[in-house]
Amino acid sequence: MPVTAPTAPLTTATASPAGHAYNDPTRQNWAFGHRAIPKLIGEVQSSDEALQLQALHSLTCRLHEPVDVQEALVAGAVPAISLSLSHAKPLVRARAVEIVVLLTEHEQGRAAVLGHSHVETLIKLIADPEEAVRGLALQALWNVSQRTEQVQQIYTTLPHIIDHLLRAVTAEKSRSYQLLARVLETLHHFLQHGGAPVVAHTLKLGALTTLTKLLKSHVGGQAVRAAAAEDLAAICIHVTTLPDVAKQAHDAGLVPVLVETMDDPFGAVRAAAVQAAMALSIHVVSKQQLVAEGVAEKLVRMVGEDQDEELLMNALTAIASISEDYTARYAFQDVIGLIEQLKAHPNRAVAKAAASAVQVVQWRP
Amino acid sequence: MMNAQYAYASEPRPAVAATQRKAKYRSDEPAGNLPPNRPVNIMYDRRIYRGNTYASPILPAYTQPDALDQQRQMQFKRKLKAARRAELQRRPRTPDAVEGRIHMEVQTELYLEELSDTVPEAAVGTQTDAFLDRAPSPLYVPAKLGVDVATQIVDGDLFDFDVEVEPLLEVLVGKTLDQARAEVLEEAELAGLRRRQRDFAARRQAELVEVQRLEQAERRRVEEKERRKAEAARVLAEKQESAAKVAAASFAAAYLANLVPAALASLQDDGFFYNAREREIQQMFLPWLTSQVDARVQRLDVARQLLDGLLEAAVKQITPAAPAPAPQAQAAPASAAADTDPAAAATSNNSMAVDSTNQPDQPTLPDNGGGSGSGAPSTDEVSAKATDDGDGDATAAPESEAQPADALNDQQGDRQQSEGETAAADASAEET
Repeated sequence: MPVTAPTAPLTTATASPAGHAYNDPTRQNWAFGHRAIPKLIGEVQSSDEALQLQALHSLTCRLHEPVDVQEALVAGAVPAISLSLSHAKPLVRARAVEIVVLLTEHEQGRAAVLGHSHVETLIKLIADPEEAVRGLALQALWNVSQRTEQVQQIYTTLPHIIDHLLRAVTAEKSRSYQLLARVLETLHHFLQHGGAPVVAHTLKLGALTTLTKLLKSHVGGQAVRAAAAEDLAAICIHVTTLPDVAKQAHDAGLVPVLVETMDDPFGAVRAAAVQAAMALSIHVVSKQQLVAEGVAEKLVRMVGEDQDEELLMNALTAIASISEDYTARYAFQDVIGLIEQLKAHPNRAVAKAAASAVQVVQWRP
Repeated sequence: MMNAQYAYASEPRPAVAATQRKAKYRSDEPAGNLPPNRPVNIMYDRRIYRGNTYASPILPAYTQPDALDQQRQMQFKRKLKAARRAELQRRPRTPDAVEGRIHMEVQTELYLEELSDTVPEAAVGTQTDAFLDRAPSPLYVPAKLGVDVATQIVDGDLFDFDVEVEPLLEVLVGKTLDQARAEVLEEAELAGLRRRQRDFAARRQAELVEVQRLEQAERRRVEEKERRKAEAARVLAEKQESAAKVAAASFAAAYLANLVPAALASLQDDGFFYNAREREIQQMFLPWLTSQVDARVQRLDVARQLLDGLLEAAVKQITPAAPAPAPQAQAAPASAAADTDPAAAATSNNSMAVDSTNQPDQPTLPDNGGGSGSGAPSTDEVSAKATDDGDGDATAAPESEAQPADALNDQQGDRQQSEGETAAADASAEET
């Protein structure tokens, strides 16, 4: 349904917040029934700050229902919260961004937000002094960057988003690890869906070095390390198309860090590290470096001990890639029986990866 | 007597009088209080046929039509017909239509209506509620009379918050729980979606890496194949070039092995390699010598002829009767010499001396054996040679000097003669 233009702010009688009739968000259902959403959207643009805040708060409670989200979009919620996103009060900004988050959890909301150029405001809110606002802005950006078309649309119009995200990585390292993980996850979306142009842009800004240092320093919890490793994997997947990837990976010492990360106690981190190593092993020189660093032993142990399907799939794919080096093939001969057994794994992806690995390990010139 | 009880599928019921039919409304009284249905004697029921049923029914007299009534009815019908006929005749009728046309009934009203004999009918079904009860009569509340003096409040009249708020609280709590449940479900759904997205992304990443690995392996194979092909082509080209060089060298060697001797022989045959002294002797000295010899012989011949002439004249003077010699024999040598070289004979008979200053270049003998034989031998050398020859003919040199043209002419005549003889000899050789 098309999003209509916002109506003029309603003139409401001034009343103190304590005695305001709208303090109770559940009363609006009774008071307005089907007219609640349009009225709330109208009140969001009110000059009364208390009323505006209350309307935003009420909307955040209502917009968990998809039907209400649709109704809000039709009533013009997206343009209505433009002013609230830039409000001086952090609570108002937080509620407004939360509404954007709730709207962007649906495809129509994402399309409406992208069409109204709220992304630029969200990018600015990444550096907001309020942590809640930053977190919600990052969440909203994560929501609108889930598909390739959306990422390309954002990057085409606002390429400096990458700069802001990388700056946020550096800034959140000293502030909040939770937000740091979210920044890295949002960056991962752009790296994954943006393709070679976005990856080249990040390489120019030294992202690979920054992420390698982050991974090496063990800053943050497993979420941060896993997200950093996934970002590195999204960069390393372009090792064949962008020559700077291999060069910067070598300069930053990425290979030893990845091999060390494969011993992480958390499965998600190990899986992400193996994913990055798997992507990097396509390059011949990097493959030799990985073999020299002893990645074969780590992979053998993973195949024999780990049960995580994603980890197994990545490990088997990495084995298939690394086994193109003859020294690594000798190392994997001992576990060829185990890999043969994995060909019957119930997960089709794991079975397929095992079949490829067996084929490559058993290859002879 | 049949003591067994018979069970009816539908137990017969007595006919009920019309006055005791079912009421319109269901009565509120219990069924036990209703008056029982009184049966009616069926013999008095008009619906039941009385009489024998085994014979053809003979209608009673009263059922048969009366003849008089029939006659009256027929007369009435005839009268109606006659009246109708008279009516038709009285009223002017529309004349018949012209030949080729027919009358049509047309509506001339302003609003046409469909003329049809069929009456529009519609079937509508309706059914009353089976359990429709009579609506209760409203409670009659008489109008209030009098003036109130006091109000009596009984239990339950006043507002009880605890009681009244209960439904509100139920709704509030219920909606709150409902919303919370919806939010929890939404979060679970989103978490599930993200987990699926993550799994899909991981599978996609693995497949992408596998594709890249295969692509790079194929690229390496192709590059290696191209390199080997280029290397093989280069080796083949080098081999071919080497073979060509060897073949060219061997061919050149074979060709050039005989080239130099052949070239030298050809040059030698063409006369490019010659001994200069020999060439000079052959081309200059010998012709000159021949010419000199020829000139000397001619002079000798002339001298002898003169001497012969003188002797002959003397003999004639001495012996006038002596026969003269044959003019042919005398004239033959002279004519032969004149024929062969008429110019030389004329010049030799006419003039014996030529101015030495007008002499062309004379062949000269070289001073040494290795010098080039250019020019004619000098006069001193010729005179020296003449003295060496013993002729003592000191005038030979001047005569030779005076007759270079004669010598050249003689030489040319001799060459032509020799060439003619050579051609004749060659022709004879070819014929043989």
